[in-house]
Amino acid sequence: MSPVAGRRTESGSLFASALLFGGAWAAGGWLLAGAARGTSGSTLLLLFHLVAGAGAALYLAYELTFRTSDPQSGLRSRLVAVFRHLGDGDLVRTAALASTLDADLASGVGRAVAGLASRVEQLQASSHSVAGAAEGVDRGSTVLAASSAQQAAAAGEVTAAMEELSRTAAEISEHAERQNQLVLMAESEGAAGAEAVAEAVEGVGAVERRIADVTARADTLGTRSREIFRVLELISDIAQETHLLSLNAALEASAAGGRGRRFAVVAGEVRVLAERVRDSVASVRSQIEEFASAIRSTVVATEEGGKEAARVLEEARAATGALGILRASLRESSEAARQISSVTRQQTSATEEVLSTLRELHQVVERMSRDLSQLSATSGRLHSIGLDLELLGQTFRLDSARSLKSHVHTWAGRLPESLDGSRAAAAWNAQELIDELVGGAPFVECGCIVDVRGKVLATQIAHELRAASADALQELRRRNLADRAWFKKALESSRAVVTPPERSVMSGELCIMVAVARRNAAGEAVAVIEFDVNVSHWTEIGA
Amino acid sequence: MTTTPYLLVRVGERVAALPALAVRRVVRGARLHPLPGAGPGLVGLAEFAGEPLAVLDLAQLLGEERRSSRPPVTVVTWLGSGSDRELVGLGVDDAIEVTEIDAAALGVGQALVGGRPVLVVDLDRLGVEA
Repeated sequence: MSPVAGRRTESGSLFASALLFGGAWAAGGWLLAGAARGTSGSTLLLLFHLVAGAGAALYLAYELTFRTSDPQSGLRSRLVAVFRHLGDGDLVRTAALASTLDADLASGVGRAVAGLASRVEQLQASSHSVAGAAEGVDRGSTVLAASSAQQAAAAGEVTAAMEELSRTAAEISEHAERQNQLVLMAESEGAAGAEAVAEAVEGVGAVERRIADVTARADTLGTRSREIFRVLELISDIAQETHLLSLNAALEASAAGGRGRRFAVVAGEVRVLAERVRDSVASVRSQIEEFASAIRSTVVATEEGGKEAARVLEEARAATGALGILRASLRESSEAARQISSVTRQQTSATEEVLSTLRELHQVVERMSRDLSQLSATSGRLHSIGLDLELLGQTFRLDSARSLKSHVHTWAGRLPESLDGSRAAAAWNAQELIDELVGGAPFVECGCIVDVRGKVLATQIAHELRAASADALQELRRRNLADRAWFKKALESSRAVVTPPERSVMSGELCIMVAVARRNAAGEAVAVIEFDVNVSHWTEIGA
Repeated sequence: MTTTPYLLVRVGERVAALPALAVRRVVRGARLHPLPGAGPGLVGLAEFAGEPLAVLDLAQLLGEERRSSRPPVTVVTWLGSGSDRELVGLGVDDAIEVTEIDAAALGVGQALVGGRPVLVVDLDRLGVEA
């Protein structure tokens, strides 16, 4: 639009506004006259308002049309427009309109706009840096917080394990001490047992000596018995000889006949005496044999008793040896238990020191984890502040790749001025345009072109979301978007619109919507182009 | 009442009666010298009063079985009568006593002494009658 044409358009609109003002005054007078109908002053009131409204309209039309159309008032109106654009943050239009001013003004305003654009770009660059750093710190602190939480948990587990170890060591020490006491008691019992066994050995030795004495006496008795047998044999022989002598005497007496009868009687008595001796010897022999048999039995029994006593003595001595070994083992066991108890007490002391250190470490790690969590939260807030600064910067339209408004204006400029049958409209493909837009801007999650009635002409979503959001995309294509806030604002304003962040139905993440209406030469909107910027990827804008 | 003295000897399980008037002596443990090729009844030769004496086994002469190897007691007695008589030794197990036997108690080769039967040996017939 040329500056001259702009001025004409402004004069025409001001004149029409003045006429509308006069007409409104007259209509108000009409309504007031109607309300006062029936009264004496109603007609007079109607005439007053008609005349006053017409007069005011003519005066305003004159003032607005002719006073402002002079060069001085035209410059002022352009300045007002320049500052209005500047106030709206549209530095592109401000710069364009400032170029129509006088050379000095154009230069001053141009420098001011350029300086402001530079500051805004610096603001955006700084917000990017802050956000990038905050994001890095956030990631690092998040990882560190997770690691420190794991370390805290691990330290807690190690502390618990060490506490368990300490308790176990204390129990081992206690058990070792009790074992030592038991061993000492057993050693004492073993000493008493060894003494009793020694007494038993002594007793058995005495029995063995008695048995040997009995055996020796029995041997003596056997020897005496054999001597008695020899004496008996001698007596028996003498008795037999005496018997034979008596027989021979009797034979001689028989040969002597009557004279030998008295001799025969004596011989018979001698024979009888010899037989009695023989019988007595036999009886004594029998008794002595019984006695000898008893002695032999006694000797045999004594010998067996001696063997048994020797065996018992041997076993008692073996028991004494075993008791000695057992007592030695008990002493070693007691010493080992004492050493175990001592070492375990030392271990318990060392474990307590380790536990103290571990508890301090656990507290330090927990404190570090909390600090890191706070750092993560702080960096998150810093990231959010960076985003706020970015959004503040995005309220300006700059001639920059980082300016979303500039982006959306550029894309809106590729839409035709008319969608109804013109050649440009026929050659234009909305889907190709929106595919190119979404495919070329990594920060764009979704984009769409909507006609002035809210019907979706074309839409597309980011490649990585297509598989999961195919249904949502189809639903979006069927929906009417006339009720969306960004659509209404874009239709109302000739400038690009940036909305506060909202939750995306596609990704579930926060997005800001940037929209602008495509207008024809008459300033009428023919379509609206919009895209959603995922705030998680906003640092990629212009990258 | 007419009695005759007899020497009672034990031969194995039996008791025999030898006429005491024919018996010269009873000896124990006489030294016997066995004769080579002698019959079963001849135990051997012994020495009696400086003369050799044939010792016969009375048990075998009476048909008894000898238990011991040689009889421990030898009865020196006359066998036969008149000029044919000769002095021999009879080996017995024991000499018991000299007793008087009533003629009325004498049977054929047998007599009752103290109520017990004993064999009466006839030395004149150089044999033994059971």
